[in-house]
Amino acid sequence: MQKPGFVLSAPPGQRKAIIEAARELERRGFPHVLCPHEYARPHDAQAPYDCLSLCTALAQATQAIRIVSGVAVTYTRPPADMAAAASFNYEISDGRFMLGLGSGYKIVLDRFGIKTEPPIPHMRRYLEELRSAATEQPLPPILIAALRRRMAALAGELADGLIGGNWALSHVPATLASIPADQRDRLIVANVTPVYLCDDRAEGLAFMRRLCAAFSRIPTYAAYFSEAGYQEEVERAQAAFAAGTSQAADAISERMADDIGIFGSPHDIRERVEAWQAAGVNWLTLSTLYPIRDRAAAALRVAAVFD
Amino acid sequence: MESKPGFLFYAVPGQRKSMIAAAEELDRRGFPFIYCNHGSARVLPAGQEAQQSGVVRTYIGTAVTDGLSHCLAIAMRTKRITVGTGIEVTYTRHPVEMLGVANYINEVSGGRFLLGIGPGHNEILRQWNYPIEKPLAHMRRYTQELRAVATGQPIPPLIFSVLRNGMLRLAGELADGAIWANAVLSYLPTALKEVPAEKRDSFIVANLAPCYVSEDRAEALEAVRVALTNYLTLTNYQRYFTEAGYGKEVEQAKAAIAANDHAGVAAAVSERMADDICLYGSAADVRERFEAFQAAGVNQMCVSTLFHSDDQAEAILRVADAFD
Repeated sequence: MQKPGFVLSAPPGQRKAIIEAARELERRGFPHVLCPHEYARPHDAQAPYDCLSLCTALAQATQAIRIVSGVAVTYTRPPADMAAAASFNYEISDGRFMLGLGSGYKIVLDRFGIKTEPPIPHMRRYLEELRSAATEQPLPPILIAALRRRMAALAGELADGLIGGNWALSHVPATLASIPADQRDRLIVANVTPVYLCDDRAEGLAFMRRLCAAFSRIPTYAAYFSEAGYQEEVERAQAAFAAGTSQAADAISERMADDIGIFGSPHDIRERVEAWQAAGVNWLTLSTLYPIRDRAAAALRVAAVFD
Repeated sequence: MESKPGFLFYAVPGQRKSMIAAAEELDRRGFPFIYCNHGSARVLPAGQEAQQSGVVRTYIGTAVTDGLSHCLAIAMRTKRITVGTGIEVTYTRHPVEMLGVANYINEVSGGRFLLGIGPGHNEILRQWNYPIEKPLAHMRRYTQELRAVATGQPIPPLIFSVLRNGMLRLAGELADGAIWANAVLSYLPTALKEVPAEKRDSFIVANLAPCYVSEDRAEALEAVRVALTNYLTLTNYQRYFTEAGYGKEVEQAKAAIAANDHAGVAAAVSERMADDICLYGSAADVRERFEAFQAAGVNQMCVSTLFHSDDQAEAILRVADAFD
């Protein structure tokens, strides 16, 4: 089995510890880290945990591990500025950096007063402007955040890969089928998959239900989960949220939780990682962001499963 | 008072690792500051554009450098030196994004970061179709938004790019310091009166001055004249230099620009003007001028060697030798 990558995010106060965690993952032979542009509280207009900065720091602190922004938000950086930062990271990392791009969450962008466009034409235009701004410097490989099939197809057409988040394992073949076969083979296919290591599988299931319910509130994820066959769960979870009850997690079936997250014992986790890789996700990336406060420790605890 | 200057860095593609190595070297040798420029534009080597196209056009709007990334990379590889953006253009980052990056650098550098911000140059922003606002109103709004989103998070010291007195007054009101590029030495005492008296002791007064070390003073004068050429094409600098007493030179430069006469713009820079803005000549001349700027109130005096040669790191370390 190929070792998976890990999500590393650096909230204030943990930034140095996260850099050390990346060094440790590198020492232990993990292939890549993916740094999200994370808004701690999307409903507040708070400064994000900037992903490109974390990538810069990791490029300086490591020698071998691949580093991916996962994802840098297009709306908050003009293409020329993005090209400059991406090219910088690519150069100082000796080519280990990849630029993951996405259009972000409308709910967050609205809060910042940023006007959004329909995602597909926006991403097409942004990539054209990015490439035309980078005439004097090489750009890294570009990965596009993709949930549904149309964006996956665009990634196949215009980018070097795609990054899913909370994809459903059973739906991966359908997502990849939207990309012409001749493009598919050359693509990096990443997915950020939540993972929960525990002896008690029921505890892991409960956690994953809560997480899936929370993502069901975000329109883009609700649409994706529905596309993947979980419309009933999404609707029930949304109804529970709308009613103000605490029962939203109950709306998530065990089948859905198991299809999106990886949870259970070390053996369960390794087995599921293999299943994801067999489905065509060649850059599987495990997320341990939730709910543990010490993120470096959380990532390294799960990493130990693969030693 | 610092015995050594800081340096302006510019992360030129292909030279980024050598620039980081140069920063490590400056850190080892006890230099106090590095300010990293934002790459909304590139200053072309002297005369190159004129030779290529026959027109005076010294800035181009392609993505070349990223000052914040450069600051962070340097902070990661150094232990003592203070790094700052000199400057980061506000129009290219939403305040909430600017704060996210600034916070990150400040934390991993152990508090060695200064956030220099400014509205940039209209000539460049127009190429990218940014909706440009009036500079003072823009900076006030931007700073307010930056502070508003920083709930519970520390903001590194905030420095405004300044040229004329209105922006310096605003920096005195809203920021922790001001940074010039090409401050006019003789005009500094007048300008600094805009900083409130109660703030003056702690206020960061930074300046980035073109610097060229050569025993041949005539050669050095020519070099810094070329360095100023780039700025004389920009409206905000034309106004500043005029305000500071160099209206005649500015008018002559504008006539040369209108005639697409690149060499004529450099020739418009009088020796008095070059002497009032730049550090040039022998190592002793350069040190003497460095001290003069400090005596005039610049407490973070930095030198720019961007215009020297294609090898930025080599140019920087060559000038650093004058201060060892």
